[in-house]
Formats: sequence, structure tokens, C-alpha cells
Amino acid sequence: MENRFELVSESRTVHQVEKLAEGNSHHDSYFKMLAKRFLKHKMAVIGVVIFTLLILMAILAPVIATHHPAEVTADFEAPPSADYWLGTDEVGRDVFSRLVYGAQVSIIVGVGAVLIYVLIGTVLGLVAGYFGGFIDALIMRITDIFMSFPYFMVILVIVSIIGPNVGTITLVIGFLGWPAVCRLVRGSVLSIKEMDFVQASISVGYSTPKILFKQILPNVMSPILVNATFGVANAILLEASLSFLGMGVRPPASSWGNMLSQAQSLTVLSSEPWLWVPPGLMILLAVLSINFIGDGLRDAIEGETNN
Amino acid sequence: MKMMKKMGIVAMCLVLLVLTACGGKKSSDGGKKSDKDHLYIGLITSPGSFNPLNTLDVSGRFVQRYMYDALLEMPEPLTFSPKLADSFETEDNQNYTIKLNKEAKWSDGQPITAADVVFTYNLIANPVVETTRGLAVSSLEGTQASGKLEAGLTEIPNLIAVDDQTVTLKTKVPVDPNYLKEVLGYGIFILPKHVLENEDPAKLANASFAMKPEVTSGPYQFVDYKKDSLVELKSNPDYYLGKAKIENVYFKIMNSANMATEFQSGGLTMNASGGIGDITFQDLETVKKMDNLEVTMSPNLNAYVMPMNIEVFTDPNIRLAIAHAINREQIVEKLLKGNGEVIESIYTSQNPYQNEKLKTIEYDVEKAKEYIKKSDYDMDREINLVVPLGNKVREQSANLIAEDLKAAGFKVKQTTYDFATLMEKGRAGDFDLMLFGFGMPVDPDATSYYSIDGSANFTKYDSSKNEALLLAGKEEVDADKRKVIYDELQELWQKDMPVLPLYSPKDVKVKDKNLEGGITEFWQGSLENVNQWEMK
Amino acid sequence: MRKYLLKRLLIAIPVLIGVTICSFIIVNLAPGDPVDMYVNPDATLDQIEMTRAALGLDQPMYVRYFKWLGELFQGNLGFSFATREPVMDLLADRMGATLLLMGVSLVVGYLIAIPLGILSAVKQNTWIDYLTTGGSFLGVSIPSFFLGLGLVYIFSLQLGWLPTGGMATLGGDSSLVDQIKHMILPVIVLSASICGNMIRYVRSSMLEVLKEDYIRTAKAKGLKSMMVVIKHGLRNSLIPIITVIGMDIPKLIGGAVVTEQIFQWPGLGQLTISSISSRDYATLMAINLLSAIAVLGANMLADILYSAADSRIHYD
Repeated sequence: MENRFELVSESRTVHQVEKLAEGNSHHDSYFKMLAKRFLKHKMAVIGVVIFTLLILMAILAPVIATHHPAEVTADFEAPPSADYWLGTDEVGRDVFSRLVYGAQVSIIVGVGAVLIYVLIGTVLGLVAGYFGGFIDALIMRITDIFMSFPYFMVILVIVSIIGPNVGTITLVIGFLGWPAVCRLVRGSVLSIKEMDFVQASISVGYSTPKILFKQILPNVMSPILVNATFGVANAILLEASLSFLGMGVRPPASSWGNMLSQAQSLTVLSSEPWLWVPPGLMILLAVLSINFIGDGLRDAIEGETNN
Repeated sequence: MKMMKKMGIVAMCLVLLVLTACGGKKSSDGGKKSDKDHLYIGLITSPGSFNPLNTLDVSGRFVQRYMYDALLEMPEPLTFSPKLADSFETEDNQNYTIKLNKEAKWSDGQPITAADVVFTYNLIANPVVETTRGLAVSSLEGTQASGKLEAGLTEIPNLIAVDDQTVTLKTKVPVDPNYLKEVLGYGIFILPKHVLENEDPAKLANASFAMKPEVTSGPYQFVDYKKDSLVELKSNPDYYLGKAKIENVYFKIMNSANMATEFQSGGLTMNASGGIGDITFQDLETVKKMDNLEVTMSPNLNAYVMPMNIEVFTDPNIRLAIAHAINREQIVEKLLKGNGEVIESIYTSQNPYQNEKLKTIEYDVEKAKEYIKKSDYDMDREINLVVPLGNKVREQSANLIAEDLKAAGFKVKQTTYDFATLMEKGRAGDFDLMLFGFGMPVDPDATSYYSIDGSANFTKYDSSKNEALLLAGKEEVDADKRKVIYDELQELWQKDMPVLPLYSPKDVKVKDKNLEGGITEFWQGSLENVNQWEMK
Repeated sequence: MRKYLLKRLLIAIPVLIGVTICSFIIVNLAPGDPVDMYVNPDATLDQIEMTRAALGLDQPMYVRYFKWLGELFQGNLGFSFATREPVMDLLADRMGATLLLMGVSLVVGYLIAIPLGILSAVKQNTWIDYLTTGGSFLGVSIPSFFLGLGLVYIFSLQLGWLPTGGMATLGGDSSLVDQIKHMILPVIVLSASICGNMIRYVRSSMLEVLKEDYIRTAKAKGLKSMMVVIKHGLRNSLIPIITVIGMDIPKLIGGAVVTEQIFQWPGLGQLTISSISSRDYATLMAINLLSAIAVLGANMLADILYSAADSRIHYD
């Protein structure tokens, strides 16, 4: 939670949107151009490959894992061996299998939470920006309130009300994360609203939802996409931190964060590295790959590729 | 606009200035002292407060014992030695006479007298005073079961300061003198009347003496407390039993996982152990290898148990099935690394009331399956195993228990809650199996855990024979006869199995080899001679 | 300008009240009765009720909220359930520790990030640029607890150079050197992400500025390229940098929960966690209020700095 790529500055977003509006009628070629620019960004491509592998790992976890993640084997705290590729933990569970299943948690929370908050943020942002006035003021104050909340407490309380599991963490991060998207969308809508093609639609008498979702939304998609990508990385980090503190996903479910929490011990830290280095590296790898993807996307959209 | 710019720069400079000023701030008074003057004690749980009347956490009591003296010490279970009191005697088990040490005085120089003792007991019984020690005075005349005075009384009758050094008191009925010595003599710290008599009793819990005690009776005096970080004490120069040899005591509050690291870096002289300052068993081997440290182990009174919800597991057969399905030996061997014992009742091997003839509930999956067949329990029902946070071994044992139960054919789901939530779920009966720790005193009374009216009986265990025995045990005065009653109770509990006793980890005591003193075999009695502790 | 500030302040008040209402509800919705944390397990009903009354929990929620609000307007934050001392005292102590840690981390982070970001932009597509950009990605992507544990492993356990945690050596001479030693590792962990984030902003805004005509002109005039960058570029890329600073300031209050936990730094983060588990409502409310004020204050400060940095922005 301490690491956050935040939004691009508002002025740039607006600038960005104008560019998009011009290209509105040539969507196909625009996306082709984006893809071309994105592919030029080597690190982003590597990021896509790694993230795809992680997704595959999560989906195929039952096939890849050598043991059931909760199974207690005969060996406790055993070093890596042919039977246990990454050794076993303090409760005799296979670390490799837990690592593989941990990918499920990270990806579900990362992607799930962001989907939720992008949805909420986009709808509220569209509404606030388009209608303005009292509705806008109200939504923006709610946004302020949400932004001022201390994450941890809210998460803990909600988690303990609904019950601590992956779904809860996803929902909570999702419900708390929307204000940034909302502000971003609102800002874009404010500028697009004044443009000719929207004004024209209004004068022709298009229905409000149609204008909002068919005309305005496609034009704010790109910044949302960039924001969402970085958001996935942040959500994964947040989940890992919460689980590390014992407030997120709890055993027997395995999460990279809760696997690392046992490393706060002299013995594990100094003589049982298989218990803490692999989950740490997995989190780093996942977050890094997504951040690279996000960077590639942003550069592609802004036309700032390294050329 | 230029002005704004300047303001911005000024603001930035101010921020920097404040930061550097903070950076230079000294956290405590300087002055180099040799290592012989410092005792660093590792503690995991931060003391709640230093109000002897209203503390329930063990670590708060532990720290208070450095600052406040009680009438008696208890170096061994049910063996008492004089502290503030020279003697604590009775001839009929109902009328008691307490003689105080003439030399005893408060840290401000005032003598500690019988009036202070009477004042303290009356404060506890005062209906407007917040206290957690009510039970201790509840056997005195004129008090209710909660320890509060009966309506119409303003003080405890027959609690009399005969002269400056003599107190007499009378219990409602004859009681085991050892019981009274433990709860009243050892369990209550005497408070300074001349300091507290002007405070509003109703607001005593929030008074400054609760957090910053100024006038105390013990070998050490309060200096500073930073919650979750440290407690600092210094020796009381005029301590009536001799000034402490170690000048400063620091309680370092930390995560148990960090304790080994602190020992390695020399940041700790000893750990508090006793469930409030334990090193993890995982780190034990690592610590044993360190040359400058001495590691000893001893059994303690704490029992880790698994209450079963009788409303769910109505048939004793299914409860016995669960008991046989769980490999408790494995928990002791693998998680405690052999440093503990499997227990068959809530009384551990250190408790004189343990029934040694109790049979072992062996780990036997086949037997478990037989019991399952005998019961009408629906095996498709998912068992909710509720686990409290806060004790690593207990959290880990939940995984082993769940897997054991699955192996016997049960369906199990683990749910982890923090302590406050767990208590609520427990009270509401919103669990099937639960992991819990019973912090037992030496006195065997277990009414609160096993009686249907007991506030910590989450199982809803209700048996008339049990209630009768519990009552008889509580009221019996003779120690041998009590033992017979509790032996019978333990057999009954094993047959009815409302609570499966799991294990009791040993107290692990780590200390610097140069420290003479430290935690003893019987944890509760460790601080008897804390003023004699010395760094060689 | 003054009018604008006044307006912002007026808007901030209902927002703050909104935050307190929401937090009050959330805190009180938490399962588990706080009284359970403060009485013996074998307490009688009388004792439980007495403690409940002493903690002020015997009244309905809305009454307690208005009481709390009333006390707040008199500058009183109530007393901590856990220690019974005024919350104000408890907070003041912890806030100092957190401010010190986060403040130093922010300053260190910026001092490294701003020159590196500029350098990386000026030397775009050289190995310096790649190294800096790569490092900044690593900084924002590495989980603080993983970095923290790794640093403890290397510098405390293997090399024995630095302490593993705490704020100062207890009973030591509490010198500045000692305190700095205790701060090095947590500051590295915290400034890694702060710095990584900032580098990205500085670099991209610098790149944008460098493309502007007036910089090209200046360059063409033969001014030394570094001077140009610093004189014109930096000033014009101030806005995005201020934005990041504005977002970082609330971290002064609540940004270091995990790091404080790992390094046993006695700050607000640790207090938050222990107050949650002991259901210390009064302390939790105070922490919430404080962090809300920090966010709102930072937003406002950022706006003021915008206008100071860029005369084109006016507030009416």
C-alpha cells in the first residue's frame, strides 16, 4: 500500500482525450497503432509474457502442484528435495504447492478488486462529470471521504464482519479503491462534454445513457486502462501486505503474503530461506510485470515510446 | 504571486527544520552506565495499565510486581513466604490475622501500615470502583459473589486495623487458608492510602496512578512507559528488603519472532516467558547455540484446549471420536519441538491437582471411526473450527487438527478471528470446535470453564454431577479432600468430553549467563527475590 | 486566493464530519465487544456492566457519537480504552515517531529521485536512463516487508552492522549516531518506493518539457545543457512533482504500517494495529480523524503550491 503509481496529471489527460476524440472514427487503425507501439516496448512485452505465465500457473494450479496445499506431510521444515521442490513449512506443507496456489489469490484479488473499483469509479465519474451541479458536488464529497479513510481499519472491520477470505479482501479493496478512477473519469468527461460531437448528440436528442456510454465512455477508456493496470499491481501488493500482517488471507488458504509472514523469525530468516525468498520473489515478479505492462500501455497511448 | 512562492519556500524550510529538530531529540536521559546496571526483559504483550486494581493482563501484573509488593510471595505452588506481611495466620480457617513488616515503607518514605491494607481491600469491595480483582475479596464477610459490598454496607465488616502492623479479617465460611493466601495474600498489591484517599473512587481507573504510578512499595519505581514499545523502571533506593542490585529494568515489548534476533544482538538479558514473553519454539535451537545464553525449560499451568459445542455434538460418542482422531503428540513433537506435554485434563503436570491416574486418550483413527459409527452424527456436515489469532503454535496446530479430522472422515473448515471476535462467537455459541487457552491459577476451581453458568464455558456443557462436584470442590477446605473431588471431576470430564485438552507448552526461559536470578521453575513465584538479582 | 482557500476550508468541514460518522459506524460495527478485552473471562455480569459504563459503551451509538463530537469541539479526544490515558498523549508520542521516520524517508527519497529523474531524462536512452528507470520500477514493485526482511538478514544478521529494530538503544547513550543507525534500514525501505515513484514522474515531466520550443531555443543559443535543464526544465515540471508530494504527505501519518511492524518502530502504524485488536474505539477514532485531516490538508497544500509554482493557475 505504500507503493502507488498514481494518475497522470490532469492536464495531460485532457490533452490525451482530445487526441482520442479526433481519432474516434478510426478505432481499428488506432488500436493497431497502439498495439504496434506497445510491442516496441520490450519490457512491457516481457511483462505480458510473465503475467500470462502467472495466470496459467493459477489456472493450472491443481495440475502443477505436487501436493494439496493444505496437506500435512511427514516432514516439517524440510529443505528442498526431489519430493518437496521448495521444501516444507513449519506445519509440514509443501512450499512449492502453496506457492502455486498462492498465485490464484494474488490474481483473483488483483484483477477482481480493480474490476470492481473501475466499474464503480467509472459510473460515478461519468455521472458526476456529465450532470455537474449538485450531483457532482455530492459525488465529489463522497470521493473525498473515501479518499480520507485509513485503509487498514476499514479492511479489518469489514473482513471480520463478512469473514476473512479471498472474496472479502477483493471486495473491500474494490469498494475502497474507486475514488481515483472517479476523479480521472470526471475530469475527462468535463472536457469531452464541451466537444462538438457530444454537443451535437445532445442537440439531436440522444438519450443520456447512450451519450454517456456510447460516446463519452470510449474516449476515456485509455486512461482508465492505464490506471487499472497499475491498480492491479497495487492491489496485489496491498493483499500481500495485509496477509503479511495477518489481516488478509489466512491459513490454511495460501497467499504469498501470509507465507512470508513466518519469515519474521531468526531461524527462518537465517537458515530456512526456502520459506521466505520464493514467495517474496513471486510478489516482486508479479507486481513488476504488471507495472511494466502499465508503463508500456501508457507510453503507447501517449505516443511516447522510446523512439 | 511572488509572496506565495516565498511562503512555499518558508514552509518547506520549516518542515525540514522540524525534521532535523526531531532527529536530534534524545529519547531518554543520557549518561553511560555499565551493563551491570541494566536488565532488559523481553515481553510480547504490552501491559494494559499499572493500576493494580484494574489489570487483568498477565504482563501488566508481571510488571506491577516489580513496583508493588503484595503481602505474601508464592515461590512454589501453594508455598508462601513473607513479603509485606510477616505472617498470615488462622486457627479456625475463618478468622485471620495478618502481621505486617515494621520496616516496610512507601517509596515516598511513609510507612506501610495496616490502614493501607484495609483501605486496599475496601477499595476493591467498593461498588463504584472498577476492578478486576473482585473475586479475591469475595470470600470476606459482607461481600457478594462479585466481591462488591452487599447493599447498605460502606466497608467490609470485621476487616480491622488493630494496630499499625496488625490486620484481622473474617471470611463468610471457613476456607482453605492456601486459597486465601493465594488470592488475597499473593494476588493483591497493597495501595498507598495517603496518596489515593483523596481521589474519587469512581474515577480511580482513569487516575494518573494507573499509568504513572508515583508512590509504590516494591523494589523498583516507575520511570516511563511507551505502549507496545517499552517500560522503564529504576530501583527504589529505600526498599525495605534491600535496594535492588540492578539499577535499571527495561521491558522491551516486541513480536515473539523478534526475540531471538534481539538475544543475538545482545538487546535482551532475559525473556519474561510465562506466556507473555515467550521465544518461539522454532528459534529455540538457534538460541541454544548462542554461547552467552542459558536456556532452561519447565512445565507450566497453562492448558491449550479445544472446547466442543455440545449443541452441535450432542452425542458423547462423536466428541470421543473427535478426541481420538486428533494426533496431539504430533503437535507437541513437531510444533513445540518436543518442548511440552500432551495433557489429559486442564491441570498440567505442574498443578498439584492433576489426576495422574487419568487414562490417555490415544490417537487412534480406527477407534475414532468406531465412535463415529456409534453416533448418529451427520458426517456430511461441515465442522467450523474457530481459531483465535495471537499464538503462533495454536494457529499452526489448527492446521494439523483440521487435517487429522479430515483423515478420520470429517469435513472441516477453519475460521480465524481475533480475540475480541472469538469471545463474541464463543458466547453466542457460533462455532463447532474452538481452540482456546485456559490460563489456570494453582487453585483448581474451574467453575468459569465448566459450569453451565461459567462465563467462559462456551460449550454449553450441562451436567448435574459436574455442577455438584464443582461446587463441592470450591467449598471444600481440606486440600486432600479437594484433590479427591477434582480427581473425580477430571474423570467425568474425560468421559463427557466437552473440552478436549490438547497440550501445554513448556515455559522457555532464556537468560544471559551473567545474570544471577531470573525466571524460576514456578513462573508465578519468579520475582520473589527480584531485588537480589545481579549481573556478574 | 484567500476566498478560494476559505471555500476549501468550508468544504473540508462537512467532509471531515462525514469521515467521522463513517468511521464511527465502522468501528462500532466491528464484531467483538470491547468490554471483553477489559474484564476477566470469569467476570460477573455486574462487573461487565460496570466496565461498559466506565467506557461509555452503555449508551446507544448515536448518543455516543454526538458526545464524542462535542468533546472533539472542546479539543478533547477522550481516553484510551486500553490504557485509560488521554488519547491525545498517546497520539502525540506516536505521531512524533512516525513523522520522524516518514519525514526523513520522504526527504531522502526526493533528494535521490529528483536529480536522478532529471539525469535520466536528459540522458534519455543511455545506460544511465535504463538503470534509473529499472531501479525505479524495482523500488515501486518490491513489497516493503520483503525488502525489509532482506535488509535485516544482510545488514543485521549477517554483517551485524545495524540494529534489527526499535528507535534507539535502550539504556544506551541515546546519541544521534545511535538513532541514525536505527533509522537507516526502515528509511531505505520506505524511501525505495517513494523514490521509485518520484523518479518516474520527474523523468516523464522533464521529457515533456525538454521537447518544448523554448528549451530548444535556449539550447540552440549554446547555453550549457545542464544549466538549461535546471533553470527552465525543473521549474516547469514542478506541477507534477507537487502532485506527487501532495499524494505523499498523507503517508506521513499512515504510510508506514508494515515497515513499523517489521522494524518495531513505535509509531502510529503499530498503534493502529494494536488498537484494532483491542477494540480501542477512542484511539481508533482519533487516528482516523488525524489521517483524514492529513489527506485533506495535503490536497489543499498541493493546490496552494500549484499556484505558487505556476502563475498561469488562478483560483477564484
